[in-house]
Amino acid sequence: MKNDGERKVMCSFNLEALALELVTETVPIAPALAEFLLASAKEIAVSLTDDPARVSGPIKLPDGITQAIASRRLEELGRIVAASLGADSEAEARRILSAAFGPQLDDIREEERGRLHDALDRRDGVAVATLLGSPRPHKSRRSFGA
Amino acid sequence: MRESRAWFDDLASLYAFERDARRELGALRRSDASRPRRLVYELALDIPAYDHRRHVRIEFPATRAIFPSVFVDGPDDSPHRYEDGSLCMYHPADPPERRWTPNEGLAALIDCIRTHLFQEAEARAGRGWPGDEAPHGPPRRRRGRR
Repeated sequence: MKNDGERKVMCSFNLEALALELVTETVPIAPALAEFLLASAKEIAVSLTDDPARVSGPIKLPDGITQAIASRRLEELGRIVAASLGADSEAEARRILSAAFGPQLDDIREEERGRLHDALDRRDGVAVATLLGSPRPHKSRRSFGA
Repeated sequence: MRESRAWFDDLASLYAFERDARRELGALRRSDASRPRRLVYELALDIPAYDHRRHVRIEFPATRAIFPSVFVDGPDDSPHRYEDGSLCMYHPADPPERRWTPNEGLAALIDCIRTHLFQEAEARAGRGWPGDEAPHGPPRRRRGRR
């Protein structure tokens, strides 16, 4: 996770430790991520995260990052993800999320595009269905023309 | 003179036909058009991996055979369109495993449409047509309403 320029505001291990502490039930990934980020923002504002293995002290934030900075960034991310939940299309969700993820979303979309193209070329109906988010296997059709 | 009954006049069959689509898409606008009589669905679909939203109109003529015509807004330059601008998603003479069949329902037809729109977008971007293509030739459809 990066911001405030290119500085990381928290290491991935810290996020994992927060998730161990805060994620207690199975819910859809998008609302779960929004809630997790918002709850993490509150947690880190109050105190550093304990080492879940209890073998060392609290997990330190990167040099120059205060708890307030980390909290603000997590809350900002959480609000963006929460806003994306109200999108009425995948395109709108991507537009909202681009504020947080920037060019990474373009990379993901490009990867999806290439995988779908390849799956159609391979006549891999299961892969096509998965990429479309469809519960039905895709039939390999021959597109026709006039 | 009273018109003969169409396949979609049987409400039980119609509800079964569109059940999965309603569950997966939620909003689905259905209407009964006249001259010639036909069943019409209108919906908005995103082109997979492109984030372009298209207005899609699916028309079923009031005939015994269930053969849909699909019209989409946006660019229409494509090697796989009928003369009336509707999508040529599969060869009508292909075996059932290589084309949409009515017993699969509306949701599976929508999968075909999304895939076809992706294939067109790829071709327009100069990446070739992903998947199989049938040689062009008869049967043809006359230029219609649009």
